[in-house]
Amino acid sequence: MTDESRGAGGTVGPPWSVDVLADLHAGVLDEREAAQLWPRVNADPEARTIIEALEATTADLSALAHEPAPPMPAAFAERLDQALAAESAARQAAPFPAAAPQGPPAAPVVDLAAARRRRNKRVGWSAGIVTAAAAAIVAVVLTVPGTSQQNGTPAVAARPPAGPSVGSDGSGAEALVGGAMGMRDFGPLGNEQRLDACVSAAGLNPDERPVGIRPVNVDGKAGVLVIYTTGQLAQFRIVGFGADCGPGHPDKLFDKVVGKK
Amino acid sequence: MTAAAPTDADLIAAHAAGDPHAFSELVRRHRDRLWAVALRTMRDPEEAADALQEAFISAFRAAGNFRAESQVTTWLHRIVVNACLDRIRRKQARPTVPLPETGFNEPASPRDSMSEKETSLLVREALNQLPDEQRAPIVLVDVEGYSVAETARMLGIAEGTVKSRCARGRSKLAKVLGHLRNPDANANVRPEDSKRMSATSETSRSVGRAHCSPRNGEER
Repeated sequence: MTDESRGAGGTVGPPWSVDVLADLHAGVLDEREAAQLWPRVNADPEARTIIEALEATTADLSALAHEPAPPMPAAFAERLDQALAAESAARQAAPFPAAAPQGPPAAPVVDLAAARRRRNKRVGWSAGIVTAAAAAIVAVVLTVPGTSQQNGTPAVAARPPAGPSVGSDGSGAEALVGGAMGMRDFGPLGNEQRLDACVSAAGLNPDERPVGIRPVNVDGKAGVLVIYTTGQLAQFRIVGFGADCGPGHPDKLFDKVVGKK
Repeated sequence: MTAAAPTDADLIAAHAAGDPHAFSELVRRHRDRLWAVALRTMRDPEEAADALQEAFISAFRAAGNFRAESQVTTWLHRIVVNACLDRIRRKQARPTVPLPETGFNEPASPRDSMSEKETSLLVREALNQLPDEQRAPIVLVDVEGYSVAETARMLGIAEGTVKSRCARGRSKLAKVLGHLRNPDANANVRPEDSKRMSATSETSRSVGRAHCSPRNGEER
């Protein structure tokens, strides 16, 4: 039945073997044996005493689960927070696993030493990411081909629309938020400097780091989706800019908050 | 606008959607309770902290796989327990200190005079005297309330082995905790040698129907 030593085979009857009764109590014995033994146990004060001692033991053990939880010591809690911050930064640095099957496997518990090594490597920029994420907003930058360009970026402007489609008012963009988290694809804008110029022209703070940027097709026109958090759980701000955006010309197509109200 | 506090399931969904704050909130809500679970499952606080950290990182990554049919707390609980068991397995290459067969039969102090807090401390200390192969099933079944079948799956052993290890561990604990005072596990124990009989006389009448634990039918 098992690979363990068993009380079965010990004394069955007075004087009682504790191990036999512990097996009976734990359900180790087969049904036939148990059915024969229980009436004898219940009729014998000595056996009942042992069973009651085992019951008292399980009651003590069960009570442990209902004790008030002690707070996690501060040093351990801080270490945990740091590890999770590093993990969060790593997620923002790479496409979110839900949208990127090539991401790390989720189910197995990771090797802690490896996690710590990763944390140490990332700690520098993770602090920046986490800080930025706390104050972030979402912006969608849309570049409309065929419109005028700022300071010679014709190759960028000439690109055909790429990425998933959203409405001209940004409808449907909220469905892209999860998959776009961590992406840094400036699409038709080409680079971060161009995006910063658009963001500044729209009156937004270019120092607020987007948590996701990706190209989108807005009603047939090429664009880029940029995502910021709002500081509220499960809530994001998304803003759209046209391809003409740049210094002094925001070309912001839409700007809205999505997610939990 | 004022919104109700998000539920645990809301937070998991938000995290899976990329919200960088959602998981931190989930950790803040459940960290201490899960710390207690890790502490019960592991012998050493440092090991418990490492296991809990592994568990939260695992949950962070696996949130996209969470299915709403189970409770978030149950899901997290299992991840923490599995992380602890994983660490225990990794440690098993190292020698363990076996529980002595004699010399532990008397409780550290008379049970009747101890406060509840002292009692729980004694129970934790007694648990720590068990070898891991008995301690783990006892913690899962008797403390955490997993069924024998679930425990068997989590530990990768047969259900009969879980029951048998629980039986062996309980008979040792019964003596460590002072419920049984006879020094020889295989010898008979007279009623007058047992302590705290009356406290459990009612519940014990259902023994045998419960099999392995009063809570072993409870599904997580």
